[in-house]
Amino acid sequence: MDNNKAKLILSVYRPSGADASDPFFKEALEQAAKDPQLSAWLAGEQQFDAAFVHALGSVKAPEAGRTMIMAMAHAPVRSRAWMWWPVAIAASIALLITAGVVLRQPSRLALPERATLAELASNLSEHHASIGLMSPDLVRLRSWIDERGGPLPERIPPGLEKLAVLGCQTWNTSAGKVSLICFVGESMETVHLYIFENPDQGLRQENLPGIDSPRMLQQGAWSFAIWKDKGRGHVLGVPSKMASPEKMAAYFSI
Amino acid sequence: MDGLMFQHLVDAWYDRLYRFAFSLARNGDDALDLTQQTFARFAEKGQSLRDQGKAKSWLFTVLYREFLNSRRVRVREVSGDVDGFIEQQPSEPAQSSFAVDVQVAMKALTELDENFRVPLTLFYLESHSYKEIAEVLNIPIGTVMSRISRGKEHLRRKLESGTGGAANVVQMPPQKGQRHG
Repeated sequence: MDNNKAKLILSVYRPSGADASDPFFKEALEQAAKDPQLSAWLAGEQQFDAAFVHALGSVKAPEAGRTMIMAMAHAPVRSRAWMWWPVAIAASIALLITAGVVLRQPSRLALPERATLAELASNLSEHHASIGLMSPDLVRLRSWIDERGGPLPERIPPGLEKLAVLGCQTWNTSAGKVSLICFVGESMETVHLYIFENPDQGLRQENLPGIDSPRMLQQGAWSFAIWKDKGRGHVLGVPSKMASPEKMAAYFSI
Repeated sequence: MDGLMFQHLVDAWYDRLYRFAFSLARNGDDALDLTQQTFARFAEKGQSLRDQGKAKSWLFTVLYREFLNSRRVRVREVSGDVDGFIEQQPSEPAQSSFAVDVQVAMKALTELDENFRVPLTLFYLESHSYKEIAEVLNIPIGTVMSRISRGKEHLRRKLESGTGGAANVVQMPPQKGQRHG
């Protein structure tokens, strides 16, 4: 083995010594032990590598990201059903094509008719929950929703605004356009904020309160706070097992 | 999947996945998005991966593919500013006779052509052998060796040419007991 080949091999020899027992390096290492020139080259190479290992190890990984990932793992199993919907859609399309059906455009997400906002939010959480973009940056999430024509909240309750954001989604549904922004609470609870573009269209008529006095109720496995602001319906949902009246109220306090 | 296993994987690989993502995306926002999307994919499909050794390669492979996919749909401005992402230097300097300012080193690394930057970053994370790097990037072992070797040469030239500031490259005196050439 000439020194050029030995250098090529030793250039992928990790400075930590993790490859010491790999026979791939044996001959090149033995040659370096005998050849002072190659030995000097290897020493310099390892020092150079160690400097970059050190530099890369100095890059900070944000703790908030770790927290959000763990919150994702602790979220209710049903809320992660989104992970299967691409497969379900692909299977459905395959079936339709087999049947000779031509899809001209994707249909809107069908939601129960004449339902309340709480019933729709419960339906979305249980059957259609998905995250289109995961990001801890609320500005980016707003921009992502806006680019897709989804409704955005004019105001976010002050207690909710303090929480870390996890991701968002938006749908075109039979009840109009709906957006979702997911937050992570202090107890690692998943907090969903649904925004309905037009809560008066196709829904059961509800006299919705304002953001300062939201209506609290429980629907299925979820506890909700509901209000109307700037013409849009808002539903804040938390899994009931992680919600309490005090906690729900805290999302609205300064 | 098992919550404890997931926690263990996050603890073991979150930092290094983020660093790999940062090197790919060259900005913190996209790096975090990539890291989170990768763990989301693992939460979805991880049940078939009980072997943590395989999970490591799987995570890095998926993150790399997520990066390639995200780049196809959008091109984001690269800030090139890495200073805010570097931790304060530890009081003890790295045990090396070659010393370079951490910011300068990271700037040089992130400015490398992607063909060299990606395998070099995996190499400098020290968690992957040359074989595993080839597996993650789906390229032959010989190509990994060639790119890492040439990537280091590009790094040296960048540092020496002053792209990162020649004045920042310091040849420290050898530590006691170190071998000389």
